[in-house]
Amino acid sequence: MAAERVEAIRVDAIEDEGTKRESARSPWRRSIWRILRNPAGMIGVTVLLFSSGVAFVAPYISPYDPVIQYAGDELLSPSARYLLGTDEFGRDILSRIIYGARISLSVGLISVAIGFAFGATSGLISGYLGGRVDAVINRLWDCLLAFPVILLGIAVVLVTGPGAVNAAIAVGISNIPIFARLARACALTEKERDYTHAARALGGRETRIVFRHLLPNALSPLLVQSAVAMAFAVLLEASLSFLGLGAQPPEPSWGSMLSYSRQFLRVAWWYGVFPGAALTFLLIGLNYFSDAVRDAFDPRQINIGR
Amino acid sequence: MRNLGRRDFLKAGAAGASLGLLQAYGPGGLSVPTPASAGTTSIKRGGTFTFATTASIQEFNPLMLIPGQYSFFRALYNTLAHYDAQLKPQPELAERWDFSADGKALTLRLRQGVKFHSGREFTSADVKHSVEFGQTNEKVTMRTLYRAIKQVETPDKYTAVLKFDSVTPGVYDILDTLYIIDKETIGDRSRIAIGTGPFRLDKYIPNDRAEFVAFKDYWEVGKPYLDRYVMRVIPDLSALALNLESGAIDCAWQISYMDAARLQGMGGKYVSDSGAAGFGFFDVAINVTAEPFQNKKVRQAIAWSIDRERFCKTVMRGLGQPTCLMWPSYSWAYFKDLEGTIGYDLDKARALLKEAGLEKGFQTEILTASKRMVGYGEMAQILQADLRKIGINARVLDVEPALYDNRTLVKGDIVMMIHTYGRAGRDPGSLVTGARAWTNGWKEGNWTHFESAEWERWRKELTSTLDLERRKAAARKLQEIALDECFTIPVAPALRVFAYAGYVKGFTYDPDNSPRVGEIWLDK
Repeated sequence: MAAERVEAIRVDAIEDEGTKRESARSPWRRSIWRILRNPAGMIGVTVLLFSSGVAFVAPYISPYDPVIQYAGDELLSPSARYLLGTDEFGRDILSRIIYGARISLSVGLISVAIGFAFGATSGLISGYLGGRVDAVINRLWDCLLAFPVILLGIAVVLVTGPGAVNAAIAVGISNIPIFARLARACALTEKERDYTHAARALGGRETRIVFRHLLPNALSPLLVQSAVAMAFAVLLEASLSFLGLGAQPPEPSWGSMLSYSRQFLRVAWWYGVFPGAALTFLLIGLNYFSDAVRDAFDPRQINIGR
Repeated sequence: MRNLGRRDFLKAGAAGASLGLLQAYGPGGLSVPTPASAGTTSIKRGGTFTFATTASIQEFNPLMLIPGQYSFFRALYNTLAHYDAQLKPQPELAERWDFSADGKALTLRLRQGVKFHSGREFTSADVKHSVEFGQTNEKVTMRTLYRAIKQVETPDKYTAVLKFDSVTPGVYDILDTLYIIDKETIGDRSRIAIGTGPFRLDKYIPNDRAEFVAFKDYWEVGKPYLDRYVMRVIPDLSALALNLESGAIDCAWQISYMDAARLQGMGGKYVSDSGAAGFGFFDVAINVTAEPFQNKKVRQAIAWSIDRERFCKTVMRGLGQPTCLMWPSYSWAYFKDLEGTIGYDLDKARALLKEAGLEKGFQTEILTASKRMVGYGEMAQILQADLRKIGINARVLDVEPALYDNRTLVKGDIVMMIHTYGRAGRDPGSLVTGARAWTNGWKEGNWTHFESAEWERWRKELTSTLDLERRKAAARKLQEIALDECFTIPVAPALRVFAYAGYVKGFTYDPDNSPRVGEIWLDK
């Protein structure tokens, strides 16, 4: 009995020690720690780091130039020479997948940045100012939300022209209203808090209050949304490329590779399977990562954890 | 002077062009379709024949040759005469015809009792209207060919006289391609697709399907054999063959060359037919007024950068032979000694660029529409890769077919583009008169904007005499100019493959690959 009590005291002490150690960290470091402690988060971070690393060092690790066509080597199956086979133009599929990671991740990052920058800013301003400004901005985003995302993406690309950068802009625009609504909800809550009243009473300018006080306090849900949006953006870019509206030939994009491979699935399974696997791998990682980010920043989850 | 007769025109025109034509206007390299009358099986009537292709129907007027239309030309409309499988002209709406002694007038005796789908009787006034529409409407692709007719006289309801300024060797090409339209409804958007053909339009859902039913008052006794003809649009090339194999359609047109070869090897369950071999060619068209292509050497450099052999081998799966010449190998206008004048030589291309002062290369664009026809997207990518090797950074602009047509047919706004030209297997003169890629200047519809007095002189020579030796000399001059100027650069025959189920019988098509749906029946 006494031994059990001693053991319990020791466990409590260890947990207290862990909690104290966690409490001693900054909120950011605490969140990162929680993501890494979460198995799903660990998988997500690993996948993300791996994919980013591959994209970053693509020129050094690609066995071939991804756009060079090797005449006579069309539709070769995986071999020691071409590890993942070749496409209908004799281009190395492994090299194209490696370079394709660059496009997928770049489009993901750019589109999230666009969505975050414009959405969060407009949402915070509309939520904080309220009134007509709020009404006008909200109706604008309501209009955007009324369109199915893929349709909106197609419309934007048709106006701006096909290409990876324009696809990123299209995906980014479709992200704006989502970030805006989230930021607005945060602003509506935060602007009634004492610290906001205090800042206002001290004569703080509105822009300062919005960006120095409201934004940091709305950051957690926005970061969670960024992680979710990243996975969505990669998928949407692949969809646009699949439709021929994303990266243009000969740029390697996983979506366009999947699209072109359809004609050859009966004779060259590797052409569609490997880009598809790469896309699945990255999306699973991003989804795990976004789940872990949400858990790490969610106050309820944090309380349960303690 | 000896009187000119039908035989003189046959000798000079398409049908007499070459014995090789017999093989041209039959199937290409894949298989031989069986005409309805050739088999011993008795013809079965009734049923629905479902045909599919990637291109949608944008317009029902048959004089505007837009890809999706080929599926219904011979279903909805008739021409005055048509070529048979041996490329001999046969009566259609014109029962018989006679040439004047000087060969400059053609009197057509029209079939009586022919009705339009609207119920109105077909008369010589409709011939006059169709000719005038074909000559004057800016959207009519072959208007330049029809302008050879200077006047149409209609002495009575069943006689039409076509008058020409000179003898016109390609007169049968005019009779075979000039679909007769209904003058009363052609401008009425609420009454579309009124012809005299074996089927009439029953239902049309844009970008999805058009459904046709047998025309009960059709003039050709006993035809059509089918009750219904459905033309479906399946934009996804890879889905075409799958639909055929699943039984959802009976025939697919313009399937990929890979699918064509695969279906052919399935023990007779399907027939893959590479279509009219002489129909046309893949080409690279260059706007001679666009920078830096005003310089002939730059265009020549492009011509030397096209790996035709590779395109034929990898994209066409060996179904076509590379060529740099404008007429097909069986034509008398094909000069074997000129074949290979331009080949694949990147060093030569670099040298030409250097001579043009562009050894460092430049940026340009390649316009294509991969949904328009199999091969468009692939050729653009192969060309792009080869141009990169000589320092030319070309952006591939793969657009929707409607936008492609707008930039080419309507605006003539291209820099460099992937294209196929048709009418190559007809009379050699019809190619340089009726196919926009080879006409003289943008005013005649040539998007390359190439214009030359010398070209026009030899074109006139080719199209205004029945003397074969003179015609050959003119064709050779035109071919030499084309090889030198490189405004339209031929690459390989543009085979448009049909694949259909084994139970489809009597499947034939005209020299433009338009199926003769009235002849088709289903043995199931």
